[in-house]
Amino acid sequence: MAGKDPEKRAISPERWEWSRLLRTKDWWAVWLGFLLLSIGSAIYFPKAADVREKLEAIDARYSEHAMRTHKFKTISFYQMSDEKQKVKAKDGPAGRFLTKFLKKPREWTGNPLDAFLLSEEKAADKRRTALVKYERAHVVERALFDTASAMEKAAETLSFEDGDLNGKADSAISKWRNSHMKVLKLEKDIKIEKYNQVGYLAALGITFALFFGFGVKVMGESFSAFVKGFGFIFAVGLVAYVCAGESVLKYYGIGYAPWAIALGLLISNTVGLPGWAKPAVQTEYYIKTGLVLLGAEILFEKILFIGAPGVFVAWVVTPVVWLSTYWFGQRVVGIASKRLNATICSDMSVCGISAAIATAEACRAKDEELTIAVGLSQIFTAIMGVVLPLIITLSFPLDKQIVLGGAWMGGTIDSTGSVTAASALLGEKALYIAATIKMIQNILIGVIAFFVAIHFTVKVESEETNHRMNIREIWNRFPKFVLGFMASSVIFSHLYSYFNAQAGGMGYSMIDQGVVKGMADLFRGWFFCFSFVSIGLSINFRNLRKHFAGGKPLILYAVGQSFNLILTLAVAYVMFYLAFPSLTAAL
Amino acid sequence: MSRHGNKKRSGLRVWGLFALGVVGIGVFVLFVSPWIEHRVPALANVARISKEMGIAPDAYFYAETEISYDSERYVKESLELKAPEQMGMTLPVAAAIFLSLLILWVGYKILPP
Repeated sequence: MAGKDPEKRAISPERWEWSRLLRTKDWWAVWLGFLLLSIGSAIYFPKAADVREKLEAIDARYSEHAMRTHKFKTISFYQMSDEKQKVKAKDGPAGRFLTKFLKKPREWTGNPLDAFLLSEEKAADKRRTALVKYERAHVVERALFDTASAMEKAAETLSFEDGDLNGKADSAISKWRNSHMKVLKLEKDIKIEKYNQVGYLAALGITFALFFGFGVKVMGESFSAFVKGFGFIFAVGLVAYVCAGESVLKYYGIGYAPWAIALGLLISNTVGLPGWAKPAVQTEYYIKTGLVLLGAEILFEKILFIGAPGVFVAWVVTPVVWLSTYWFGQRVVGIASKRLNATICSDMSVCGISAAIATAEACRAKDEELTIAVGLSQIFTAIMGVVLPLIITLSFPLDKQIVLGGAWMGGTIDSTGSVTAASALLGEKALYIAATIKMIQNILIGVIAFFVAIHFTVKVESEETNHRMNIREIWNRFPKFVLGFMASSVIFSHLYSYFNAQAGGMGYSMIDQGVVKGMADLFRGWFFCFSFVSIGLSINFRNLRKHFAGGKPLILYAVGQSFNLILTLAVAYVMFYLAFPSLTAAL
Repeated sequence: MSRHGNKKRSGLRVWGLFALGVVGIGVFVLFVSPWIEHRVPALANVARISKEMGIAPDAYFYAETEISYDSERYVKESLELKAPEQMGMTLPVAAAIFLSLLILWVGYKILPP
């Protein structure tokens, strides 16, 4: 990865030159990221008036009936919520096209070709199987709905003043909801249609090659050489997505990242990277562009959704664990590379691979260092995803399993996917709490990345270059993509709050289900995949082994995660049960 | 002649290793992982529930799975309905955010360079 060797870090020019705005990958990541976000905004924001009108109509239709009691969520409360959730800015021709065009290879079982192609015959087979399950689930759901309606009516006849009847109605409605969510999932399965992704994927590869190639050309490198090499990166990325799409592995939480690195490693350490593909091995370029897009998904208002206990668990425990583990790594374990130490700390304490990527780039870690962090995260996530639900079920008191167990898993298991899968074993409510805590922790990425960028630029690099830096030098050395990352987060957080102030749920419809799900998220996954392929292709096994000497990264991760588990559990207990019990009762 | 022979052997060796790697990945994806699923009940349980609930266990970030939005909606609506006074930027929430930033600032000051 050019620019990440210690020697190259040390020779950063001291004078600011405006041409850097068009000559460095840092800035190109910002321009390309913002170009995509601007296109997304131009597509979806003109729909704001229409979205607002729809949401207001739903409020007018349901609100009075839905809010006739505050003791529990009534059936019409859920119906109002469901109706609102269907209002999505991306549900239009442009959004549908982008979703289809940028679709990754699909999930498959048995035959890898199903990742790209599904015949009408097979689709019909899948629909038939799903229909049987759907009809069965639908019958159950209707019965539960009738029971819930009857219980709600009974509670209403006493003006919702009878605690016992309210509790029974709440419980019956919750059972109906859980069944309803399963029916909604099956409803999608009975609509499966045939597909052929081959043409789209070919066009997508060409589009990405031109998109990144333009920046490469302006930066003074060969456009044609990049485009030729990019075909190779794209092809390896596709294979990584196909491997990750195998249905069983997918449910173990093994995503595209380890596959992309493993395939890259396999190629570079056996037959070698073909010379013509080298110009497209641009880890920083892809990863930083993806990170600017990730910034738009970091929406600060979301940290308010679970109240103070969630913020304490996700935002207070995490920095304490990060700093303690970093100190432990430097002073006790003796990790030679501060950058590896920082990347592992973020990986382990914040939210796994996405935090590792942001931190690694903010402190200019080497490819091997990010690879080690990714590998450790995958291993520990897989173990914790199985072990934590067992510990909670076997040792937690019954009344604490849902909230405390959910908060514990949300605050400690690295990746969102594994958090949701593991917490679902404890039930829907535990899943919702765990996923919300994890979401709040995800938002901390921006703050941590900024902190790391400042710490490494001002303190670590000063020490490495043996002189105290002035403001200009700090500016020159500061990774500029972090500014783009922070700027996109601030801008879209502001827009999210602005839309929410217009109508309840409008931020979700316009930002979450508009620019984020209809643009940023679609591109970001691909960009991160290309960067992981590039990482794998540029690593030598011998260098990787050198960083793993004495198993120090493993010790650091294990000790840090153990501390994280203890502290998160203690803080979650204090916050949810001692400090804010009324909030816990409301969940 | 000998150098040419070594080069050829080395070429065969790396291609052999590459082929072995490809076959290994193929065997793992197509046979080993489904086999493990049937042998480890805890994993089978995670897979079954994830399938039933439409969870994406391979998601790295909250925005990559719809279940995050369902969760956020559930929690937010529960508090809005039953504990509205604890929603939004309350004093404890502001204190928690301040504390978080303070910890990072102190960490910045005391961490070894």
